[in-house]
Parts: sequence; structure tokens; C-alpha cells
Amino acid sequence: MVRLKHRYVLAEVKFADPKKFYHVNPHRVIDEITGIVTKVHGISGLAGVKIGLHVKYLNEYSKLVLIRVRSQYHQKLLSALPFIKTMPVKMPGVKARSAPEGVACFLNTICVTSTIKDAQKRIRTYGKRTMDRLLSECKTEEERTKVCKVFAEHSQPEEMEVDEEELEDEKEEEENGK
Amino acid sequence: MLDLRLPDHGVYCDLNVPSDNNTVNTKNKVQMLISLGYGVIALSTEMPSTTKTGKTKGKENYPQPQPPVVLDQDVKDQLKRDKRRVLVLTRITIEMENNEDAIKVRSILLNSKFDIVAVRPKNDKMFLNCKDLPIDIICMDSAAEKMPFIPKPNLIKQVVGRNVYFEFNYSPMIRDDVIMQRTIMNGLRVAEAGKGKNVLLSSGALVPMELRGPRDVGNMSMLMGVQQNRAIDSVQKNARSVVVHAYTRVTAKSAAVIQYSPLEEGTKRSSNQDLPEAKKVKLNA
Repeated sequence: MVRLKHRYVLAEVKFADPKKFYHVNPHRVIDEITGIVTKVHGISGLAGVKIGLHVKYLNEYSKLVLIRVRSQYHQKLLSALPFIKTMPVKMPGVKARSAPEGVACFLNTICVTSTIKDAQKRIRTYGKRTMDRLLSECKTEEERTKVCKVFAEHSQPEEMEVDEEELEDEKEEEENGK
Repeated sequence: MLDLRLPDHGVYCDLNVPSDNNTVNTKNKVQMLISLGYGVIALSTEMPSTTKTGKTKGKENYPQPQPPVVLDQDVKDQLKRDKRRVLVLTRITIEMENNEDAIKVRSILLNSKFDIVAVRPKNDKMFLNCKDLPIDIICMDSAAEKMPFIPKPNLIKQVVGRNVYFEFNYSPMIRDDVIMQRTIMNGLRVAEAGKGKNVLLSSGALVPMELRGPRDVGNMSMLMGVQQNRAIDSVQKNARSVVVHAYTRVTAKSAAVIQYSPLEEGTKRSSNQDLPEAKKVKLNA
């Protein structure tokens, strides 16, 4: 059996106002990606990208997205991601979704990895950096304990759905590394 | 150590950020670029050609560089904590259509009020003219017209040998589909002739939400035929060589920078008598 290889793209969703909170849905992210890849690479490009397309991790508070693609087609996805302009998003406390055009935003890629473990490491270092930055801006101890609590509740990168194929990938990578 | 106005290796650069009298907009753009990870920013002013403005006499009508940008206190504190340095330079882009424009370019090069000088030729003749001038960037913008001229591979090779790069803007591509097709067409032509080593990507953003991160911009150059190994060079290595070329254009044959270095505590400056004989200063030859 030929081994299936994947690439995991870690990206951050950046809105115009970084302090506002939006509910981001993984299905909407996939809809946006398919629309953009058809515009840039056509129908045949979309067909290749759509085989193994899956959103593995999405955190609404830190706004990090982890997208999985087959490794033969990851260049097509990477070259089409910067053209995303808007995304349909749900406002907190409002029943209906926002306008079909969506809110202005863009995706900022942080790294591309071959296993989920490496992606989890990068998520942890990114989270530490933002926590250090917020703690240095705090002036009282109450604010600091609040910040630590929120980070402990809402950052859980280990709880991701991992398939059997991906476990085999990671075992083979470790053996090759040794 | 020395405090030259040059970036280190491996720093991301954005060399075309249009700046007008609207200071709040430019400040927001610069702060967004700093948060995305850029280290060198160049604020540009436009100079249209004489066919649009008519003949003008005298050097008083040349545009002046914008006053420096004042950042918020939060951003400055954040930069100090990370020990990061951000360079903000000035740049001018000149459109060339007549011989009078070529005269303007030469006089602006002598004035040296701007750090970087860029040129946007619109004919084959003007491209041949600007091939020999000591410019830094050749702008290949196909904003609202058909392709202005078709560059030949031999000329491109001669230009690249002198460390002058071809620049494309990526935020008009995000705004409009027709412009996206034209810039990718031009980019493929230029990258073919230079094996993908002579492309520079920069933003021509009017609004802060049209800016993109450095790795995204490098991935966009893959659409223009650049290999994945060298995709990030269009933001890193090529841009740095342009800044160094602009710096050496202002200096003479050789430059010496003298800087007073602070003494460590507890040491004294040794006088001439304490040194060994070989190191003493000999005044009588």
C-alpha cells in the first residue's frame, strides 16, 4: 500500500478590529477556500485540493486554523490563500448570520508542517508568546490571574481528531529521524 | 556596534506603501505591517509624467518627502520589549514617457532627498534609457492599461547583472480580477528570462486590510513561475540588495563611519607610552 502524505497549514484569521469576538465556523472556512481555489486555479485545481481537505483544529479565541491537504497539492492551496477577502461570520448574541458578503478579514500563514505533532508544538509556542505579551501589559495581580485562567480554559491543542493513517505517518517519521 | 541604516540578513521588507497627506491611514498601515513581522518599510510618493501635468519649469515643483511617521506608545513599548528594529525609508516612483522625464530622473538622482528611486517606463525607448541610469527599482505596473511594452530577454539579463530588480504590486491583484491576470502574465515573462531570480513583490496598498504576511507574499510569487525554494527571496534577499544599492549610491568611492563607543566601567584609555613599541603612533616618519 502506498503511503499517503499530508501537509498541515497553520494560519491565523485577522480581522480589522483585533479586540472584537466573532464565531467562526469550520464549514464556512472550507466554503471560502473552495471558492478561492476555483477562481485562481480552475476546476481541475479544486479537484486535487478537495480530496483530503479538512479543518483539523479551530480556536475562536486565539483565531488559529489548522488545515490538512494532500502533499501533492499543497502548493496550489498556499498560492491561493492570500486572495481571501471576506468570511461569513456569526456575531455573539445575534441569532441570524451576518450579511452574505461577510466581514473583512484575511488569513496569515504561520507555518507548514508534515505531522500534527509539529503543528501542536507551534501552537503551544504561539500561545506562550501571546500570553507573555498580555501579561506584560497587565498592571495588577488580579488581571494576571484572570489572563492565566482564560488561557488554561480555552487552549487545548491535544484534543484533535487523529486518524490511524496519521498515527502511522508520525511513527515512520520518528523512525526515519533516528 | 555600528548603527548603519541597513537591515540585517533575513529581515522581511515591504518597499512600496503609498503615503498621502492622510497621516492616520499611513500610521495604521505601518502598525499593521509591524504586527505582521516586517522589518523595513518604504513610504512612496508618486510623480506623474509631463504628458498629464504639462510642462513645468524649475525644480520647485518637484515633490517633497512626507514628514516622518509617529507611532503609538503601545507599539513602541512592544518593539523595545522584543528588541526589534524597524527601518522606515522614503521612496519616489517616476513615470517615464518623454525625454523630459529622463531629465527629471537625472536631476532627482543628484538631489538625493529620497532614499530609494524607482522608475515606471511606459515605452520601449524609455526602458532602453533607464537601463544605464543608477536607479534602484524598475516598476512593472499594468494597473489600468494594456501591457505597455514587451521586455526582451537579453535586456533583462543585462539589467539583472547590475542588481536592479523588477517590481510587481500585489494588492491591485486582490482588488480586481483583470489586473490579476495581467500582472501574472507579466511576471511569467520576466521570471522566464531570469530563471526566477529577479522578481520583487511589494504592496501598493491603499487600506490596511489589503496587506498580507511575508510568507503569503512569498507564496504568491509561486504563481509567477518562481520555484518554492526561492519563493521567499522576493521579500527577503532581493529587497535587501535594493536597500544596500540605494545606500551605496549616496556614498562616494569609499565610506568611513566613525562612532564613539562607550567605555566599559573600570578601564582607562591607555596612553601612547603604555603601548608596546610596535603599536606606538609614530609621528616622525
